[in-house]
This record gives sequence, structure tokens and C-alpha cells, in this order.
Amino acid sequence: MLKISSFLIAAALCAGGQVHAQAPAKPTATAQSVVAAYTVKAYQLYTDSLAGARKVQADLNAFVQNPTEATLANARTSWTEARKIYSQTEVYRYYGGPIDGAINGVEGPEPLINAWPLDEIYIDTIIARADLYPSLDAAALHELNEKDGEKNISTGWHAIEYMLWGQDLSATGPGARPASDFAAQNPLAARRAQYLQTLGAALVGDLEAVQVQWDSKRPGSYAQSFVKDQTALTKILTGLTKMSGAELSQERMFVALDTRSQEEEHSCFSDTTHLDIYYNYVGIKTVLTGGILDLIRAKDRSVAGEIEDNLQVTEDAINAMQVPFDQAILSDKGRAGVLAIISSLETLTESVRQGAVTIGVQLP
Amino acid sequence: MIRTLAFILLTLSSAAVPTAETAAAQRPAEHPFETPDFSRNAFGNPFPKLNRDERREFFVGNSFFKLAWVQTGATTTARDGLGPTFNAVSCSGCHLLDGRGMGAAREGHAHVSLLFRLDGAEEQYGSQLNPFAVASVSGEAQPFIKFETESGVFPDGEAYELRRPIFNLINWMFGEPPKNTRVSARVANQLIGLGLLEDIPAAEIEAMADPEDKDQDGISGRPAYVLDLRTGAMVLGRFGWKAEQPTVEQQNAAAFNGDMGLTSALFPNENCPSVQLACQAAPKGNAIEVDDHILSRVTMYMRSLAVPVRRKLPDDNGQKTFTRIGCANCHRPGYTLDGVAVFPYTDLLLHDMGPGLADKSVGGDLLATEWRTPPLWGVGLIQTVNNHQNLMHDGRARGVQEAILWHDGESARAKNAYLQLNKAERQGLIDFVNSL
Ligand code: HEC
Ligand code: HEC
Repeated sequence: MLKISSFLIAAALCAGGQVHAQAPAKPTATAQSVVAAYTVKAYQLYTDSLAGARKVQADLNAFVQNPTEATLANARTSWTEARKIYSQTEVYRYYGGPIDGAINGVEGPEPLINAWPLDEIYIDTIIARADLYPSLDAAALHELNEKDGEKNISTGWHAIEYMLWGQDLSATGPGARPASDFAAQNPLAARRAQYLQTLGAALVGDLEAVQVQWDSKRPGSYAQSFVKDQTALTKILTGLTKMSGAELSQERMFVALDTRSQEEEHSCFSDTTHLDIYYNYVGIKTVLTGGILDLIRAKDRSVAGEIEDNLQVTEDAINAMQVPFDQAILSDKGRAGVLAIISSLETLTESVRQGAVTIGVQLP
Repeated sequence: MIRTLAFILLTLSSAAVPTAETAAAQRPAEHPFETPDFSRNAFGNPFPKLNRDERREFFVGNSFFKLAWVQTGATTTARDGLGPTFNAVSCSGCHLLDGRGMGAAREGHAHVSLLFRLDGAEEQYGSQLNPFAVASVSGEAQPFIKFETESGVFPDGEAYELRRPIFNLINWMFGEPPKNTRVSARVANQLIGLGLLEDIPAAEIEAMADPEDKDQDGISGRPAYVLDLRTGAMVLGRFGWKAEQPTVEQQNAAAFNGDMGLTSALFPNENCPSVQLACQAAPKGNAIEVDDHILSRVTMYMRSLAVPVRRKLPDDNGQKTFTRIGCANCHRPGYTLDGVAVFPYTDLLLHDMGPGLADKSVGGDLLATEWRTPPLWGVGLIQTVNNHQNLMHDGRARGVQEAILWHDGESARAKNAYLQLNKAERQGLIDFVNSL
């Protein structure tokens, strides 16, 4: 039963800033400055995330060219590292921004990047049936994602995760796909290699499409209109409360807890769901401590204090969680720990909604 | 910057029938059933009144509604058992974002959200056409659409055009069905406020019925009585375009079974008629693929989707027209549930809507002209949520005006009155319907 190492927490804290910012409200914080700072941070995180995805792509390519346990381990490590950054960006969802809204008539790539849970049988079928799926290039995969109005997604982080780890059939560790699945003597190796390389390239391309939109120096970018958007604060807080109150606490945690089923955990092949949870939380904290709390504090010190306390309670609960998540949801002690995180996220969400009211933001 | 929404909560005595006219302009801090979300997710919010435990159950249901079910054999055991034959792999495949399906949107292969009920071909096909199937099995037949256009002119000279869908089912895998088989095309509804519709006392609905049209307003209205599988009793039907299901739970279990090939306690049998040997032989999941736990979560979810707050209009002319020309005789505005006024705009009764909307047999005969008055709440947000506003039971109407123009039978008077309105009055009525 690993715990998240304290070094990791410290590293994350750097990304997220101090929880208990005791400093009095900065008199300079205005809605405008907060929105501007949020935009800068989003751009920075997507830029870092894109860099992480590029590293993943390079390591995937290196792995398929020379499929050894060492190159496989390398690719797994860079995937895990890149996920830590991507997970922090998920707080930028749920208000029709570049990640999940339509820009110039093109839907945001969120489903292509992060579709979950994955139907791995479907992926195996695509790989095995060259007769049915002759092409495995990006265009072909994107087209497959939309079949008969149905979405059956075969790209993104979790598709790569499945290709690197395979199904997780063990109680103690993650999936254990051997590097030899990709070695020349394996009849499906060439198809797997081609598929994996396409996945890497598609991830980079899809993330880049989001990243450029957050570039406030780029003419016509989403960032340029966002800083002038009268509803920007509503959007920011909508994304944040949906992430904390619905996506993370409910869809990614309570559903798995309630159904006691391993495949409901977020990163089920690699057993890194605890990291997803932690870095989703860091993303939430980053937005709150990046100016929103200052705005609320200027209106109502006690609500702001409550939000800070709730952040701390949530963080403590996450740090205490049993790892891996798929085992935590099966034992009494583990379940109590997961439930504590869920409850603290719910309380946090409620206090943020209260805080929103103090700054005149009405949330759906 | 933030729109304040005046709105509708009445503190009427429960005896009074709340109408939109009497709605006070007071919005409480948080309405128990309404949401101020007008975004693409407008139909996807929980009732604000849910407590924490209920909210959690809601999200579990949401997850099983939204995500794909897979065929037996995958490691994912909570979501397997799809098929052998099916229409779609998830509820949201048809009810995208808890909203309205595309329906008869264009010519060619019918959109997945349009399903075809069959009556009279049970031995070959069961009671619903399943165009798709798992790998070892084949779909039952393929539905195609063609349009015939009809045009007309308002008395003030404005022209209009209606498109009538002609459904052509081909490639029957187990032989042509009998010629008198009834084919009923239905599109997936938006799913807001269903728990409220379920809570309207049956007696209140029955009191509005006038099957002999004693009051001679041209409108009869008949309650549907259907079998409640939980109790074995015949009770008021409320859900679906013909009010064929009595409860949200039964509607959901029927959808799991008929649309996705998933068994539950209410529908324990796979939909494999005896002539469909490959279907019979295909690997199945557990005897009960959707257990009571999951079914109850999905039911909680379906009962608790909040209704978007009504959008404000500059005047109430459209609303007055709606009442004056008789739309409200079927689309009854309001009900009071536990002291809270809600405005679904339906009487939940079946009405004869004339031959133009009737189901046909495979042989082309007109059959079954009755339809349940659909609730009108949310109709104006379908465009935002689903990128279209294809209305009526099969999605043939492109927007509110065409929907009105398809009204006939018992609603002929209201439709004819609409034709006589001037342009501004017509627009006012459409705007009103779109504000609901
Ligand atoms: C193949 C498309 C399709 C799928 C998949 C589907 N539905 Fe539906 N749904 C429909 C259609 C069509 C109707 C109208 C049915 C009728 O009139 O009989 C409907 C009606 C409903 C209604 C009643 C709505 C009302 O206003 O009366 C509910 C509730 C519902 N569906 C829930 C579900 C659930 C839960 C699932 C998943 C288990 C699901 N549906 C899957 C097409 C679909
Ligand atoms: C006799 C009862 C009756 C009257 C009167 C009536 N309607 Fe309807 N309305 C229905 C029924 C039943 C349907 C569904 C018919 C179908 O789908 O084939 C319907 C469908 C609709 C729809 C489409 C709803 C949807 O979800 O797709 C709209 C919009 C509508 N009516 C508006 C009106 C307006 C406006 C009036 C007044 C001009 C009116 N109706 C008068 C019974 C009535």
C-alpha cells in the first residue's frame, strides 16, 4: 500500500502555490486581473502539457523502433509524467473553451484526448482486423471515433495507456503488457506499432490545437476574446465547480466506490488513478489561489477562509488515500478514505458556490 | 453581466391550477427543480433540491446513461451484455446531452436516435427494429428515409413548406414482415423534469379527459392505461410519444432491453425471437445484465434532471395567443406539486392528431392516429443543446412553426387559428414556445 510520496506532494505544491495564503486581500485584484492571470496560467499549463505529450510521442517512437523492457519503461514514465500536467488542465473544461467547445465550427478535442472508460476490446479488434480497418493513420482513427452518431473512441491518453500497460488483471500492480507484444516475431507487432505511433502524433496535434487558442499574443485566439468576456468569471467558476463537484468527486470517484468496480477507475491500466485525482485537485487549487480567493476575500473574509480550510481538508484526505485506487474501493478502510475525499470535495464545491454568490456570479 | 431571471414560483393553494398568466415574478434563492443553465448542458443538471446522497446517486446514474455498454467478453463487467441485437450502445447515443435526437433529419439511412416500433411481426422481429448487432449476429433490417414536400401559403401571403418523411425498411434478415405490421417511428425525447411528470396525481390527468368531447371544443383526450410491471396493475401511461410506459423506471428498463439488448429484473428476456438463431446462440452476459442497483441509479438520474428556468420575453403577447387559440387546451401550462408550481405544458393525454401524423402499416395503410401531448418545456433550448430543432414524434418539423402546422385532428381548430394570425402574432407565439 504505497502512499503518495511526500516529495511528490511538495513538487505539486510548487505548482499550486501555498494553500494557506495568509496575506490580506491584495487590493489590486480585480475581476479583470484575475481573468488575465487565469489566461496566462492556462497557456502555461497547456504549453507544458504539450511538451509532455511531445516527449511521450518521442518515447513511443523509440519504443516501437526498439521494443525492449527498458524502452517500454521509458515510455510509461513519460506518459505518467505528462498525465500529471494534463490532469491540472482539466479545470479548464465545462464552459465551451478551447478544450471542449466549438471553435470555428470544430468541436474541441477533449473526447479525442481523454475519452474514458475505454472499450479495449474495440481497440484490439481494430488492431487485429486489418481486413476491416486497413488504415491506422490519424484520419482513419478520427473517423472511426464517430460511427453512426455513436462515439466509440479509440484515441487519447487512455488508448496509449492501454497499449503500454495492457489490461490490469492483478490485485497488486498495474497491467503487465510485455514489450514482446511489439517485437518482430509477434504477428500483430507491426499493427500495434503503427497504431501506437498514430496515437502519439494525434495526441500532440490535438493538444496543440488547444494550446494555441490560449496564446494571448496570437491574433484571434480564444485567449484574446476571453480576457474581454463579461462572463469569464462565470465560466471559470463553472469549470471549476463542475470539475470538483461532478467530474472528480462523482464520476471518477463515487461511481467506482458505489459499483465497487475496478474498470470504473480513471487510469485503470496503469494504476495511476491516485495521481489523476491529486493533479486534478492541484488544478482546482491553482485556479482558486490564482486570484479568485482574493476576489472573494475582498467581499467576505469568512467564506474565503472556509474555502481555504476546505482546500486543506481535501488535500489531507487525498494524501491519506490508499493506493492503488482500484484496491482502495474494495477494503473498508480504503473505502472510508475515498469517501472522505469525495465529501471534502463536495464541501469545497459548496463553499466555492457560496463564494461565487459574494462576487456576483450565478452558477448553473 | 449576469442575467437575473425573474421567475415563476407560485405559492398558490393546491386547489388552484397555476397558469403561466398568474405566475409571480419572484424567484426564490434556489428553485427546487429549475436550473438557470442555458448552455449546451442545459438539460444535464440535477434538481437543486437533491441532498448529497441523492446527488451522488444521480451521478452514478449519469455515468451509466452516458457511457457505452460493451458486448460480453470484455474485462469490464459492470457495463457488459450489450445486444445481441441493439439500436445503440449507450442511452446518450440517442439522448445526446439528455436532449432530443436528430430524428428524420435528412434523407438516407435513418439517424440512430430514430427508432421503429413494430406491431404485428413479433415472431420474426420482436416489437422493435434493431438495426445493429454484436459481431456474430446481424442487424434485423435497415431503415431509410425519403421526404415528400408539401407547400402552403398563409392568408397574408407568406409561403411555408413541410416535409413528410417516408420510411422504407429494407434488408429484412428474417423475411418480410406481414403487410399489416404497424411501423411507428419515434425520436428520442429531451429528458428534463420527468420525475415531476411522474408525480402529477393520476386523478388530475384523468379529470381532464373528455373522450366523448362533451364540451364540444373539438378536443377529446383519453388517458392511456398500461401495465405496471412492478404491481401488475393497469395504470395511467405517462412516458413515450404514446404514453406507453407508466413510470420512469419501467421506461428505463424498457430502453435498456429494447434499445440496447440489456436484461433487468423488469425485462429478464433477451430480445431474440425464435427464428433468430444466431441471436439465440450468441454469448450473453449475466442473466440480469442491469442489476437493481444500477437500474435504481439510472432511474434516480432520469427522475431528477432539472428544468431550465423560463427565459424572459419583452411582452406576454405570445403567451396570450397560446391560450386564446386553444394550444393550452392540450398543452396545459401548470401543476402544483407539494406547493411548488411547475410548468410542463402538457395534459399527458392521448389525442387524435389526424392522418398526416399517423403511423402506417408496412403495406402503407394508415393506422394509429393518437399521440400523447408532449411537454413543451425545454423545446426552445433543443437548438442550443442538440444543434437542431427537429420536432414532433419523428423529428419531421424543422422548428416550432412547422410543428404547429402539422397539428390536425383534435388540434385542427388551433392550427387553423394559427394560420389566421398575422406575422407578428405568429412570431410572438413561436417566441413564447421557445421561451419555455
Ligand atoms: C435508439 C435510441 C434510444 C436509446 C439508445 C435510448 N432511448 Fe430513450 N427514448 C428513445 C425514443 C425513440 C423514445 C420515445 C419512445 C416512445 O415514444 O415510445 C425514448 C424515450 C425515453 C424516455 C421517456 C421520455 C418522455 O418524455 O416520455 C426515457 C425516460 C428514456 N427514453 C430513457 C432512456 C434510457 C435510460 C436509456 C438507456 C438505458 C435510453 N432511453 C436509451 C430513444 C432511445
Ligand atoms: C389536441 C391537442 C393539442 C392542441 C390543441 C395543440 N397541441 Fe401541440 N401537440 C399535441 C400533440 C399530441 C403533439 C405531438 C404530436 C406528434 O408528435 O405527432 C404536439 C406537438 C407539439 C409541438 C412539438 C413538441 C415536440 O416536443 O416536438 C409543439 C411545439 C406544439 N405541439 C405546440 C402547439 C401549439 C403552439 C399549439 C397551439 C397552436 C398546439 N400545440 C396545440 C397536442 C396538441
